[in-house]
Amino acid sequence: MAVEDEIRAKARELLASGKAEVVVGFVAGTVPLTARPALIKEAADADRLVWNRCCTPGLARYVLDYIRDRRKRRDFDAAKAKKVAVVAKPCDARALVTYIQENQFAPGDLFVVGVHCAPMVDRRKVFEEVGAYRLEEARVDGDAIVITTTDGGEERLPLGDYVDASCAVCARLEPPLADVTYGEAVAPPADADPYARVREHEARGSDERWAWLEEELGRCIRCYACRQVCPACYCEECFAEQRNPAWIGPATAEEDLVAFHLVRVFHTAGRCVECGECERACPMNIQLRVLSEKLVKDVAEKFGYVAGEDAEVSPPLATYKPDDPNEDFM
Amino acid sequence: MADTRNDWEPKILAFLCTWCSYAGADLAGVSRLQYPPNVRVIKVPCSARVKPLYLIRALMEGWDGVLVSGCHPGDCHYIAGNYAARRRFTLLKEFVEYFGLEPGRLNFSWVSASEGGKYADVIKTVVDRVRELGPARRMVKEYAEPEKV
Repeated sequence: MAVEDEIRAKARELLASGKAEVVVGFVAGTVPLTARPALIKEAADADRLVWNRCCTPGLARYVLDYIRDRRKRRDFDAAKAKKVAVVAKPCDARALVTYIQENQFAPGDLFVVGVHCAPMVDRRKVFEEVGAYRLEEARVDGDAIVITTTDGGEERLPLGDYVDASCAVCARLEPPLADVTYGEAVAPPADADPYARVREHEARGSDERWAWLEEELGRCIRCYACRQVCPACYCEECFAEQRNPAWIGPATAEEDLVAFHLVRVFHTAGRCVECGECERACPMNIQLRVLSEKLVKDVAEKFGYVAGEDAEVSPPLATYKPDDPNEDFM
Repeated sequence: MADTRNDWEPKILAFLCTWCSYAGADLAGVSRLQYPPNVRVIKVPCSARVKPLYLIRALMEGWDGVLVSGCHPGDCHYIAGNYAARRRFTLLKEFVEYFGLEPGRLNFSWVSASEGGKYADVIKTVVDRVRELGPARRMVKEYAEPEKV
């Protein structure tokens, strides 16, 4: 059975039996090569769910928001509450693990339909190649993306060339939290280095790094898309919007841009699950993962910790070891 | 600020924990130890009370260097505050330098209540380091003057 059919069957079963009150999953998007997050609440709607190589959006935030909103309802009764089911890629499942670590909900609130990961398509690259307005329809067929253009032609693009940058180097193919798991994992090339861009930036000199940063972050329009999609950014009030005290200005002065990104990314230290949503969401194509990956690398190297692997372990900045690195302290 | 380079003096903002480093600074004072007068002190309950945002904001306001100082590891009044701070600032220092800020703008130290001498040395070291770097340039924001009433 195809993964999509397995997900639909499971969703139907969960909703029909009353085990879950909602299934958070993907339905077909209105634009080619997109999938849209959706809350499915009726068993009859389960067949709207899709699973394909375009299911890039993170679903963990939808789960968190649903559970938070549910708790605020006046008639909510925790003892009678049904589970919230979610279709989870490994990065989604890792984000769910961080939520459990951070006491946002209990593991028992969830039913996780895990999916082994196959790299997702970067639709921007395809749009760029084909021209977004020439694109009538697109589907993934084996190792190729089959494009139907508006003039009726058909083109085949090799899938390998249009894989999302985060997926291309991701070796975490197993959802760390799952009640059932479907699908087959597709491993990245053995020489894929998740920190390649970090190493490149580290190799630059201090002045060069600053110049690169001014150029990249200088394009930021403060739309906050990176924050809105980030599974780690779920504060009810963001420091960037606090106005008393106003830590940073609200506009696009260079220093405010740098401070916003520096502190926002720093807040994800030890919590970033490397889903790459920030970079996909950015309308200005800022290479945000060069920043967040640095902290992922440092946390792994200095504290031997990988985010979202084990809900029983304390997050790295909430714990310590007496023999942690001390060389930065006089 | 930057154009009067000849008579420029570094300005250092220091966050000192009330139990150790602040008392250490006090001891340096009552012992009449000499150290550069370039430092302004903010007393905080613990080094872990200092958010990274405070240090970033200090840099934006044009402080040439920032120092956070707390109790030695193992001596925290709150058992483990300085251990938490150590992890946080180890990451932050590396991260801020990765952004392109000069190494030496952010400084961290452990100074106990009995180490007046060490406090004076730390301040000397930090001031020398920052003097070498020159006035803060990166991250410094031009804030509008508050309107006179």
